[in-house]
Amino acid sequence: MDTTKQLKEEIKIKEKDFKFVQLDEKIYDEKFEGEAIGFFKDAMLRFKKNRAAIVSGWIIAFIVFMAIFGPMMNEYTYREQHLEWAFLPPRVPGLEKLGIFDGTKEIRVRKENIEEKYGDALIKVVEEYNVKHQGRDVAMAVIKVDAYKLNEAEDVYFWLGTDSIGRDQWTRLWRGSRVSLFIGVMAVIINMFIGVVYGSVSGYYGGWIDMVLQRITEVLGGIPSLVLIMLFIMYMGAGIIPFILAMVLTGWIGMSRMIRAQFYKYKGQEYVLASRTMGAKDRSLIFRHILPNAIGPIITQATLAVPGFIFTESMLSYLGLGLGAPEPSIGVLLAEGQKVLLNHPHLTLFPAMVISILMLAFNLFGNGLRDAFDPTLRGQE
Amino acid sequence: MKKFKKLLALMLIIAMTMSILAGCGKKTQDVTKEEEEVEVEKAESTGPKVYRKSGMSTDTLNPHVSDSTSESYVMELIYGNLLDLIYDKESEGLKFIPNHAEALPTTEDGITWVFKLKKDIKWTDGTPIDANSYVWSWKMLLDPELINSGARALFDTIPVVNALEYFKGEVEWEEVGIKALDDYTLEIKLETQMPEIDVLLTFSRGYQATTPVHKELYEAGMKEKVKKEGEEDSKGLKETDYATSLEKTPSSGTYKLTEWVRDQHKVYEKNTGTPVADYYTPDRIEERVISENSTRIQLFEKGELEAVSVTGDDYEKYAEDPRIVFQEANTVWGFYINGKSEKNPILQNKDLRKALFYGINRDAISKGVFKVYASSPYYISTPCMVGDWKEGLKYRDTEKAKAITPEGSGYNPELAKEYFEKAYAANGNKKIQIEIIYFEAQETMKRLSEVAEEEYEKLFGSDKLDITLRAMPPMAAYDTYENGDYDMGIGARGQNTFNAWKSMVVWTSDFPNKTDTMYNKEFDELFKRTTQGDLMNKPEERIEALVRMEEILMDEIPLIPIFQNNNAVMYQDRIKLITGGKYMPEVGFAPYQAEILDQ
Amino acid sequence: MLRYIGQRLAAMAITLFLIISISFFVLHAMPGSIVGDDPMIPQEVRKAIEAKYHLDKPLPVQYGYFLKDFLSFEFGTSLKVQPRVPVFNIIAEKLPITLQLNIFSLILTVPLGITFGIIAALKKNTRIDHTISTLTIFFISVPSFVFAAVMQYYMAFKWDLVPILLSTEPTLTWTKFKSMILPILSLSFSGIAGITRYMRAELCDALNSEYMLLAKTKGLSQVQATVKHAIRNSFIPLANIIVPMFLGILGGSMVVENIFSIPGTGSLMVRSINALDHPLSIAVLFFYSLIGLISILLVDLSYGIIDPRIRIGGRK
Repeated sequence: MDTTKQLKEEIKIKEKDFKFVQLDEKIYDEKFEGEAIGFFKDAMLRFKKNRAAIVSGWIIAFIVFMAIFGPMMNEYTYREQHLEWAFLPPRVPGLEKLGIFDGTKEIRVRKENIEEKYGDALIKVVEEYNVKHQGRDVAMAVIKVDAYKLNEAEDVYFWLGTDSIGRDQWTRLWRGSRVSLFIGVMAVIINMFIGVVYGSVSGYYGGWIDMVLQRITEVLGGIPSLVLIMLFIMYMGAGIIPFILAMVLTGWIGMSRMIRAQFYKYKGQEYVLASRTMGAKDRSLIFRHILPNAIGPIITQATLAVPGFIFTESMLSYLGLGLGAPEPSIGVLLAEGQKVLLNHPHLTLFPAMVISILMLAFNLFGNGLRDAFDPTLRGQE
Repeated sequence: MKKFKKLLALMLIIAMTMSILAGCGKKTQDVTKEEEEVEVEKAESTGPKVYRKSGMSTDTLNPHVSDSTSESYVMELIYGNLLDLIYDKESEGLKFIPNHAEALPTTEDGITWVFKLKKDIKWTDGTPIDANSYVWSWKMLLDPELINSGARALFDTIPVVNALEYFKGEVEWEEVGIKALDDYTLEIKLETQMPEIDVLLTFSRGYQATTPVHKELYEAGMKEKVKKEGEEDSKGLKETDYATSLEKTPSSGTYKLTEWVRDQHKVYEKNTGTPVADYYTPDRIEERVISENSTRIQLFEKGELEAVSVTGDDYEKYAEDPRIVFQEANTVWGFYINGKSEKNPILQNKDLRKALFYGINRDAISKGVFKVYASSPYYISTPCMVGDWKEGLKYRDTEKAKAITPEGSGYNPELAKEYFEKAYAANGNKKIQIEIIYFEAQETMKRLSEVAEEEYEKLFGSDKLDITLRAMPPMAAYDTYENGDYDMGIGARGQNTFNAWKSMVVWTSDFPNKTDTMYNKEFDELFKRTTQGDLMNKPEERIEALVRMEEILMDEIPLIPIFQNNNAVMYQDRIKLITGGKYMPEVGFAPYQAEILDQ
Repeated sequence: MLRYIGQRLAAMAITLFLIISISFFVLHAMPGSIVGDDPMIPQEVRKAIEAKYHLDKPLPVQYGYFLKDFLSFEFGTSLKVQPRVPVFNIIAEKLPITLQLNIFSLILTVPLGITFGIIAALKKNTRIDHTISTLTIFFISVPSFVFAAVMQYYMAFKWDLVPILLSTEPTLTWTKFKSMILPILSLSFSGIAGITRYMRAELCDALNSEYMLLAKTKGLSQVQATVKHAIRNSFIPLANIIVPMFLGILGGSMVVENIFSIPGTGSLMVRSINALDHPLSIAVLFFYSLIGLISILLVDLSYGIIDPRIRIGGRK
């Protein structure tokens, strides 16, 4: 003890004790060649390196493009009906010569009728069989016919076929994609907004505020969401706006939970403590210091949620709570197609393809974005 | 972390055990026992004739409260009534035969009806059924505290003396016109004279609310109303759980319910020795609840179902199949029009309603959307009979009815346009807007309204007419109609096949559950005269009155009739229908009377 | 911790009460009459039936009656779907088969999902990984009614491998199990896909973490480190989706039940709502909500148990 005191007293350094050593020397420090790169630019650079994400981005752009312009690509409208041309299979000029999309289908007929009724349209007899009826055998046959010829529509091309009342499936598919995408994106944006604010407040303040806010989400989330949505739509009537609102009813809860969890994870960390000690305000802690950590998860969740809502919409359509007729959506088309899935698979196939591709693309795209924003998570799903 | 894992494992184990335990609960044992019995029976009789059908889920088999068609298909098998109605091969028509009764009822004035009962009628558990059992059952049916929806059979379908008053709690049971003269004689007194057919129908077949109930089981399941002083308790309503499970469901009919797993399957075994058992061919009926149409078709194709209805979506595939037969529905579907609309006053314009009547392309809907249905530009469906039911003269086949029926499918674009132009002018040459309500969750109903929208707008020009569609659950839709808060909406009107006059009640001005907006004095007058008044016993004039009533409907157009839902059905070839593919009212194709070949 | 659980349980009771009350008002606001839409039912009957169940009274009065029953745990009997049957008996009767199917489905889903997830993570960014990931998304995105119908058509109808419908045998026999294969598969696809996705993400995360580096510095081989540390650690957050999945299955799947004719709980809710059978609707809602709340509680608690760095209920 004493010695240290002595030392302290002994060693006294004054300014004049110092002198510059290299004052005259030149410092050979290299200047940065490039410009300073901002956060988003940096992200963009990394994003560009992710091939899958780029391709997905183009696919999404393509589907969005088709959703906007696809319905205008032929002369039919989404509600124009040709009752005499119901359930026509797909037929595309050019491709039809290759044996696909050639407008043929197999039907069951009485053998005796083949010549007279199907003469011209007949392509080949696939199978012959007998149906026993009141003691005698009735000869039946499965024949492959040109459905377009059969219905006197030889010069007509429905690229993706027609539905039960002869509406062009191509037009309906893209118009349906448009409606579904709109519902999905709008619902996600609204949900994201509510969820982020709600989750941040709940997670950051904790304590009784968290308790109260969580009880509210519990009450809402406790009611099975499908039931809530069903009742809501039954009450509001079908339509695009009621649909979006119905999805917002409980849709934001997932987002808010995730954000809240993020806040719990980060709010106790040292850097937050440090900035609080330095006098950072709540708002700046929430939005500048903690929330940016959640950008990755927010984007992943939001991109995943778009096809998720499209999916919910299709489930509701299966329950018959679809959009107001005659508006199509992917869900409406799938529900319509499912009823005739085995007889007319083309009505299910294409909407199912669009929804899968959308989902895949949104996923990869979302992952790409997240990797770009948060390089430490590179390459993970 | 370890704790949590253990917890998870524990939960899994608990859940597993629960599910397995639950799977082999008490119910399980019961049913296995029954199955064993079935096995034995199978071994004894050489090849029992089994009929396998698809059904819908059953809510209750209590005949006093059940109100669904699918339940009536079950009850007609397991319950007997005084009479039965069968297809008679000789006369190629319907025939009433006595079941619990000894013979058809006797009457002298059409007001007092007397049934003599057979002496050895029993429930399958051996409890005898006599006139007193019937009287007790009807007393319960009309009980003012039980409030059974089936009670209307005795005051609405046929007006039994004081039945309604007893139901409302205004008179004592002794004053009701139902008496057991002795143990085997029943006497029923009506307030007004009724045609024989109505009385016969009310007391025939097991699905009618008049079928007897098993007193012990009925009372055992009864919960009495608890009345505290000054306040009515919400608990303890008087009700019974009669016939809500296998043990609580007795049998007084040709078949006995031996297995019943809700929403899955039922098995019926024949009660040999019951009065009408000889008319019915299957020894065992197996029923599965199947809600998906494609599943039903697959089962039929595999020979695991005897009959399947072919909907429009599958019709293309089976259109040329020789096994297809058509039902004849007694229901006409169409769009209600609100002719008293305040919000959309142009609907009050008769020309517009006529334009909509003639402007609907019915074939486009019945053949285009439903594929199998028939277009109906009329209000009274085809199976409705007039005159003597034994002769089976159908109303639509009479010359007078033919004269007022619009030609073909009633689609007349020229005429429709003419009417429409008048209406358009009346609207001040402004665009007419109409909203059509359709039933949610019903794909074909949606398509129907889509086609209607398109056809109307195409015909009248979308610059002059704008149609919008709105989905609603059926019950809410009917509510909306009753409140008069709609433009147009899908709906149906069914008729009593044997008494079309009575069915006209729905169009009368003071019908309590009125869903249309027609108020026509002449119509009301004709309805009264044909159902209770002077025309009841004048067959010719009565038919003329019916024609006139339909004519009034066609003029007022409270509903635009569009189609009659005649479903297509296929039966396996081993089921030889005795009606020869002819569809009869009430008994249909009489599948349980069909000859069943071995598989 | 115990205090926190106690608080949560108390809060849960209040939450449940609120859910049920809200549901009560929402359900009673639905249009339509319990008596049905048959216009031939005379007005006297209609009115009398409505009066019997107090449906003619103003809503607050009805709510009073309802509360009295509810607080004494009297949920009453169903009005329409299974008239006169106590509502919880209805649910109890339908639970076993739903549970059976779903537990089998879980037995299939969890190991398969985890396996595929591990494979995908270990073979990250190879062809195998891309195939698994694409299939995963395909199975998540195509609705189960499409799979169920296609499988029923080919496997049962065309190729005769299994029965079309669920067998009616009451006990779990081999034939019954055979008929359960298709429903189990239909139920499993999206579950497998979900777990695969989650597992892959978690494992990738774990493989990149510092403790793996540490483990390897300690001298463990890549395989040892992966098995002992990475995979074990990535199992933990899996609880977050398996717990809700497990509890959520009690709700059954209406689509699969419809297609294979299974008398399970799936369609109960929709049917009771459509029939305006309020006591049953409320009972089913109560049941589902209870399950939902328990699963949220379990997940929340698991955060604390799994990762001691997270303090549940802690202040800012």
